[in-house]
Amino acid sequence: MLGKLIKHEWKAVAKTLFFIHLAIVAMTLVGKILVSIKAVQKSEILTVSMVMVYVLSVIAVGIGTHIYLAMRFYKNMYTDEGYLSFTLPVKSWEHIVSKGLIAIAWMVIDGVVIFASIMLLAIPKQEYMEFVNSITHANWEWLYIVEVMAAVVVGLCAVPLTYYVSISIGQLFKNHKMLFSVIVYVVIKNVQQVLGVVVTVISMLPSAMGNMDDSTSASMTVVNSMMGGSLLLQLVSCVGFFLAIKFIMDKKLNLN
Amino acid sequence: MAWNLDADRPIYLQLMEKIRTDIISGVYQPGDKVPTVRELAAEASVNPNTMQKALTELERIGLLYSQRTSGRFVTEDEEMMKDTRESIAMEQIQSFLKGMKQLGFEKEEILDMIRDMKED
Amino acid sequence: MEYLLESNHLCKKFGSLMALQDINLRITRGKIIGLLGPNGSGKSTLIKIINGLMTPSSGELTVNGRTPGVETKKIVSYLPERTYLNEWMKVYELLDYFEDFYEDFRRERAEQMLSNLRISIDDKLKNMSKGTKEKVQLILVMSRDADLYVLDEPIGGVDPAARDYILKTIIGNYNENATVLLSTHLISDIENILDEVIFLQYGQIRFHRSVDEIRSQEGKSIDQLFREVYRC
Repeated sequence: MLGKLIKHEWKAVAKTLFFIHLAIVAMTLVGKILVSIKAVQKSEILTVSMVMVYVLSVIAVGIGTHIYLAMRFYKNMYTDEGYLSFTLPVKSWEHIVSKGLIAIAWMVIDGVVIFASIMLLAIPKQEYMEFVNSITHANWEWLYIVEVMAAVVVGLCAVPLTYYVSISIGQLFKNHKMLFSVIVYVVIKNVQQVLGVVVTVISMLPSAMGNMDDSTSASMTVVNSMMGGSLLLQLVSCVGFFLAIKFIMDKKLNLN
Repeated sequence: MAWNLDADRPIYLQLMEKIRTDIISGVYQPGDKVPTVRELAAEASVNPNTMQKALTELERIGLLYSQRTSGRFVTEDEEMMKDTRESIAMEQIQSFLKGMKQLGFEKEEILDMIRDMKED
Repeated sequence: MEYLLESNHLCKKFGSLMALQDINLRITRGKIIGLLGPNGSGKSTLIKIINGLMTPSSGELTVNGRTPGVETKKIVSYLPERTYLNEWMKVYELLDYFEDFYEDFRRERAEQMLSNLRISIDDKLKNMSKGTKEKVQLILVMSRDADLYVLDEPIGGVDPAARDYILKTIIGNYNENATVLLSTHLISDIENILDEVIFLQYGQIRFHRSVDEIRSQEGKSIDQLFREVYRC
C-alpha cells in the first residue's frame, strides 16, 4: 500500500511542481541568452537587475514548493479529502511517509535544478569541472562522510516533518487553524535554535577543556561534536514529530 | 405498472396484493415465470427482503410455486385462481360498502344506484 | 451469533458534551438499515467511529469482530455527506485510485453505471454539477463488494430522478452477505427500502426495530413515527 500511496502522491503534485520548476529552466535559458549579448554585458544596471530577478525567482520557486507541499498535506489530510484518506485501508504512518518522501524528492529536485541552473549561468565549464574534481578527489575522513550524509538525510526528513507536525497541531484548534499552525512552526523553530546553541556549547566543552595541542585535529573534533550534537537534536526532533503526527492522526482526528 | 405503496401499512402485504391482482387480471398468465426477487424489488423500489417475504407468502398460500433452479411460477390450479378472484372481489366489495355505509347509504339504495348506472 | 457490527457501552465525549451515550448495537448481515435522528443526535459521531475516523471515549465497537482499523476499512465502504474527492481528478483517475486501494472494487460495475448516467470518464470533477459529483461518489462507493456500506445522506440535495436511481442502485446492489447503513432525514423517500430503523436521540438509541413491525403494530409510517418521537 505504501508504494501505491507514493505513486498517487507523486501523480497529484508532479504536474504543478514540474511547471513551477520549468520556470527556473526557462529563466536559465533566457538568462544565458541575455548574458551573451554585448549590450547587456556592458550595462551594469541591466546585469544587476537581471541577477536580482533571477535570485528572487529562484527563492520564490523554492518557497513556493515548500508552501505548496505543506498546503497539500493539510488539504489531503485535514479537510474534506481527509474523509477519503483516512478511510483507505492504510496505516497513518504510511500517509506520513508517502507524503514526506515526495516532499523530500522535490526538495532534492529543487536543489539539483537550482544548482545546475547556477552552474550553467554563472560558471564557465572549466572551473565547474575543477570544482567537481576537487570535491570528488579530496581526502575525506570516513567518519566525516558518514556524518555529513546522515546530517543531510536527517535534515531533509526534518523539513516536511516540521511542517506536518505544525499543521497537525494547528488543526486541533477549532478556529484559525492556519494561524496556530504557523505559530507552532515558529515556536518549534525557535526552540530548536535555542536547543541547538545549548547542544553546541555542551559538545564543545570537553574539547575546550581538553588538550589543545594540535589545532587542526582540535577544530575537527569541535566540528565533529557540533555536527554530532546538532545531528542528534535533529534526529530526536524527527522521531518526536513523527510520533506526534501519528498520535494526532490516530487519536485526535476530528474532521469536519 | 406503478407500485403505489401506502406508508402506514406493512409493505409486504401491499406487495402481495399487487402481485395477486396482477395474476388475476392476467398480467401474469397461469404457468408464467415470475421475475426474480431482485428485479421485482428494483421495479417496486423496495427492499429485496420485503419482496422475498411477499413472494414466500404467496407461495405459502399456493398462488405461486417455486422450482429449485428455474425460479418462481404462477400456479396453474384453476380452483385456486377462482377462489383468489372471488376473495379479491369480496375484499373490494366490502371496502366499498364500508365507505358507502359511512356516507349513510343503505344496501337497497346502493343496489339501485348500481343497476341504474350506464355500462361503460 | 456473529454480528457484522456490534457495539457495547460505546461512549464519546467532547469536553463535557456526551455525543454518544451507552450505545449497544447489534447489526446483522443482509439488511438495509436506516439510521435516523435529528442533527446533534450523534449520527455523524457514530458513523465516524464506525469508519475509524474517531476513537471512542469508552466502550467498544467492532466490525466483523475487529476494532475499526486497516482490516475493517477493507470491508467497509463509506459515502460521506461531503465531496471527499480531489476535484482536479478526472473520473478515470478516480477509478484507477479506487481500483488500486480497494481489492473489492469492481471497475466494470462502476463504468457501467457511469455510462448509464452518461457521465464521461474523461470529465474532471471540478466541471460537474453538485448532483453529478454526488452520483460519481455514490457509484464509486457502491461499486465495491463491501460487507458494510455506510451512506451518509445519499439522497439529500438530489433531484427526484436521481433519487430514484440512487435507491434502485442500493436495492440492486443488495446481497445477503452485506448490510447497508443509511443515515438520512428524508425518511419518507427511503422508508420503503428499509428493513430496520435505528432512532438516535441525544446520543442514545431510542429504539432499533424492524420496519414491518412498526407499521403493523403502530399502523404508522416511519416518517410519521419519527415526527411524533421527535416532537417533544
